[in-house]
Amino acid sequence: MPVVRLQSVDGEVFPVDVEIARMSFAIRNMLDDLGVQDNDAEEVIPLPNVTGPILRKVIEWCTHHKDDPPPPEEDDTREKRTDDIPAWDQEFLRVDQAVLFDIILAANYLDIKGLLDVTCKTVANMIKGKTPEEIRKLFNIKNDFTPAEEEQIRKENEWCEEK
Amino acid sequence: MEQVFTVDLILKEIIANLEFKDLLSVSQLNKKWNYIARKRLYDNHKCLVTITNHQRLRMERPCEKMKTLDNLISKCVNIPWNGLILRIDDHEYFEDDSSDFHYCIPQDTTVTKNLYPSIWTKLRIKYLIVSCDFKCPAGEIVKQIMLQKGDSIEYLNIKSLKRRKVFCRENQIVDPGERRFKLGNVKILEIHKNMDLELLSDVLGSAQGVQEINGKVHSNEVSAVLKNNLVCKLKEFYLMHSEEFVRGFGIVVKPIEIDVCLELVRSQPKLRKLVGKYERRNSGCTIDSYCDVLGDLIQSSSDCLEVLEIDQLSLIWISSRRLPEARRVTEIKVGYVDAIDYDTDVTTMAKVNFGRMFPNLQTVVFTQAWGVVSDSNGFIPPGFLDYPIQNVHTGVALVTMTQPLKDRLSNVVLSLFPNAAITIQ
Repeated sequence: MPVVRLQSVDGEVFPVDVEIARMSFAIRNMLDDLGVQDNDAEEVIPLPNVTGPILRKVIEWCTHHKDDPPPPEEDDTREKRTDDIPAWDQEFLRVDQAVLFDIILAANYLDIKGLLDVTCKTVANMIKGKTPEEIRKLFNIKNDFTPAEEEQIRKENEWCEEK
Repeated sequence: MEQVFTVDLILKEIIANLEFKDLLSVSQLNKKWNYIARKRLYDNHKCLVTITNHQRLRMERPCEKMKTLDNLISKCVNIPWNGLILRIDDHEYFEDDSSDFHYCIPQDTTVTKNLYPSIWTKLRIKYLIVSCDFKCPAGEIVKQIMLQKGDSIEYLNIKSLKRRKVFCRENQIVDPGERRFKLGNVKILEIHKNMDLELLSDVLGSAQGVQEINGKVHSNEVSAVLKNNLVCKLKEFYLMHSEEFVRGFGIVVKPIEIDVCLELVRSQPKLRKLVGKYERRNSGCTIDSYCDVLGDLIQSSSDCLEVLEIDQLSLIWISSRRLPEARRVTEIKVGYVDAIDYDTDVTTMAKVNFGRMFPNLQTVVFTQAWGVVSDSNGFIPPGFLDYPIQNVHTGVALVTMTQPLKDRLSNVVLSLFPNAAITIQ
């Protein structure tokens, strides 16, 4: 199996099967742009936005999911579900919030749709059923509304109904 | 602040997984969340605002409430609403009658748009559910939207706008050439019984892009549908044979419009749901001729009909005919009249061959039907009472019936549908 070497920002180098590395569209494009051949095993791809521990997690996820069918085409209108996270992924994502967020950033940077999907679902599940104040506290989100603006939005929401 | 939430794409992805209530919550977090959550609400959900004089809001004037909404919208940065429900009860609304409800906000009919400037300029409606006449300014602004800004409407649910004619005469601002609604982008149209036929015709005439017409289309409204070549869009049809009360003239028997219904049948409807209701004997139409039309409708739509709602007598009649199988029917709702069984001393359902007519039936619902024929002897088709008890239908998985019908029907249901779970409502 051909291998590429991925280098994290802190200098750690991870040899990874090409097929697994190519689950990242960012790496796939880099490999294609560089015209890297299968036998260029010494080629090192620097990933300046990802730390070693996070890259290790990302590779672990990709390795586990290497045989998954490609994710369905983006369809913004479909009804999203968050109760369908596979048990392995749930266990895999049982990490500190900071680590979870770093994985999201890495999945976004590396453009790994499946991983971004499942991590964002995990965050959405943390949000569900909470009040705005609880969510702000949970994620340390700064409120940049004036009291008047906040009151206006609260009133607008009172007038919103699904059916 | 977490860096992860500063990336729009990530925030969008998280927010895309939230449902309505949580979208409202996160829209209060801060400006960025507000922007993305509101956009998601507007683009991917029904986010409706209701103006009504119903129930707990009974004493509220809809025109005034609309004004409150207008004020709210005037200060709104990201409008979340993509739909409007306007519901004004007719019987609660008498503009000229000092004895009762409601005095509209004084207004010059030429400046309704000025009364609600923010609604007029900022609200872009995809879903419109309107049930009122247009006399109140709240109704007037909705009509103006339908006339001039209706291009954005994709779903229209319209009901009982009976006094349109009166209002059109009074209303000076509508140019006669502009009477036509702008409803070319409506994809789903829901209509209801007793609509002003001229209005219905106008709506159908301007909603030529409609893909689906749902709701209670009655026989007297069929001609409007036929005129606009929209029969193939009809998903539900109510074939009702009944009397109509006309004020000042007492009870007037309204014969079923067999001709237009037969024309509809000839136009090959693609019905998903058919409601057949024979309510009372009259001279204009016999149960026999009524059932001819009902039978033809079932037959002509047997490839697509999924739900059949029918009264007990009509079911007896069509089962006594040799209709071909309606293979896609999975649900039947029967309006049951105890009197027929008592009069004949026969549990008539036992003689209806469900299996032959509806081989893929899964659900049967029996409800009590009121105000229908009681002297049933004269109505039962010849020979029906001598039919043998029919074969069991093993495919039916669920039978629902109301408590009063339980004693009467439990035994026959158990023997006709041996695999069905029975629920009593």
